[in-house]
Amino acid sequence: MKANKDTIISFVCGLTSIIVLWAIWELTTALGWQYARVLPPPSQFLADFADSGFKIGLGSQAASVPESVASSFFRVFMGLSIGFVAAITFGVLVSMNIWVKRFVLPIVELLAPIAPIAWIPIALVLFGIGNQTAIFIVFMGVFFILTIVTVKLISTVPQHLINVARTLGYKNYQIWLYVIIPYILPGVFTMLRINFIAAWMAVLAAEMTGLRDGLGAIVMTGRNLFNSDLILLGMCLIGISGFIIDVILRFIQNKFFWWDTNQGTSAHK
Amino acid sequence: MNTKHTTTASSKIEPVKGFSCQNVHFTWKDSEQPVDVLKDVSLQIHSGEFVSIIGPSGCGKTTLLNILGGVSKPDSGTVYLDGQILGSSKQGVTAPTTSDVGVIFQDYGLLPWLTVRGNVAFGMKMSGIPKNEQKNAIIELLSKVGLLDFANHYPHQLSGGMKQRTSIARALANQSQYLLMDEPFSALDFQTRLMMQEFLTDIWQQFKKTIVFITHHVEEAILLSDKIYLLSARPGTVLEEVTIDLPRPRNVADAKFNEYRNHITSYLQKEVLKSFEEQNAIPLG
Repeated sequence: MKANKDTIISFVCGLTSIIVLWAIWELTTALGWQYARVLPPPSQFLADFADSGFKIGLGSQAASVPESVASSFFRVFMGLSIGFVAAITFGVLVSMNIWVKRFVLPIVELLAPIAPIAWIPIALVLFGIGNQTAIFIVFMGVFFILTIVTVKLISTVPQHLINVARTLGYKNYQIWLYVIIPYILPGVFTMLRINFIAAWMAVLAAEMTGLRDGLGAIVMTGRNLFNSDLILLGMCLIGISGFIIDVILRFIQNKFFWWDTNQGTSAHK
Repeated sequence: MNTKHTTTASSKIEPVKGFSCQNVHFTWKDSEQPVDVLKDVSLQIHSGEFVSIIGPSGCGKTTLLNILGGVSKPDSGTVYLDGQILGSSKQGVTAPTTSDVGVIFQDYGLLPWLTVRGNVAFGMKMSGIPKNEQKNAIIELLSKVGLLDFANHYPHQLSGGMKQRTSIARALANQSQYLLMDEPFSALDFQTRLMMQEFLTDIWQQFKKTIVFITHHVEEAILLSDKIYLLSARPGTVLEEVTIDLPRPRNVADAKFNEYRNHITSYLQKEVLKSFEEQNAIPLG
């Protein structure tokens, strides 16, 4: 009950401050401050946006806003899912043999710090302008770091859990399947959530540099047309979409990867 | 009092139904200087017995249990389980065959992502019990350990005593004849501990298991065991084998109980002192 009450209070407070911010924004514009043209308030850009029939772009190139949001979501979720599964598979394979680990891990560690945005030129050459490029960039943004996390977490699986399985008759591959991989999943998923922001930014950058649709493309179209309404609209959509994706990821974590292995298996929650 | 001193290292132990260790040595090689953990350990645990192992901290009790469980491998010496070589220095570790040995730890070793039912099922998965009978077998087991109402709870929702009962149920689910318990009740509060001691005695008698029980707690060992092995300070070796010749249920206020307690406590004090002196031999600062 108490947790519920806390949630409601937090929600109301958050909503209040958003409304206050909005009001100040509208007010400063109504008072005729000169930056209103660069930062048009929601009342203005949303009205313009409704006038244009929820389409962005020129003529046959125009993409509808829901389509743009959907394609950005699709790219991010595809990239994250493929990256998550591939990193765990690769991390497990690497961890199975100490020599493979010694040879392969340094390469992964070298590639991990490369910002996902830096992969954009290569991705454009490899895949051209399209979904594959964006998915590839998100994938690169999470794959290496999640592989490192997977390898790291595998080394922290308590020996006694493995011994329990072994004395119960589990074979090596079964121990990987039923003990080690479930044990590391929540930790890897937490890392995925943290790295989602980087992947999200990379997709937007990719959409700005060439892809026709997507949220990044909205902002870029706005820039090309000197249309600040469109820029602001794009920015708002990016903010809201990013927030929604994080909520979804948090939901997945609480629903499927909720167990806390940091406290050990004995600790009370 | 029925105590006997174990004879010299060269004594030959005939393999019997149960565990028998012959001259087991174990050296810890991970540190800079190799540390002798177990030295010349010979002991016998007959099928159906409740045997406790007591010794000062760091005397290698857990290592010994790992060797019995087939998880660690002795540097020399032989361990027999039901007359078959379990792990010897030459042949390498043969993990005990499925359903022979169950291990129970102080910190339970439950899988946090599985419910009580799931953890017990995890123990039964490799037991050879046909799949369609497993569901009923699990329910029966849960009711025997008094956890039927908590079947769908996760480990973090349970008290310490319940977690340990789950862990015992998991070992029973595997049809293990041998239960190796490493200080299973050390993390529990006093009242729960008393209840769990009673519970374990019940389980032992009901399921006719062989239990190897490691503890620091002298009274607990006398209360539960048929036989107690007293280990020395590191490197651990068997100093004495004490047979507890008392009818069950046992009474801690009993005069003979007290005799056992005094005998074992005085031994333990001596050994703890010895290991302290060894530590103090290293100049501080």
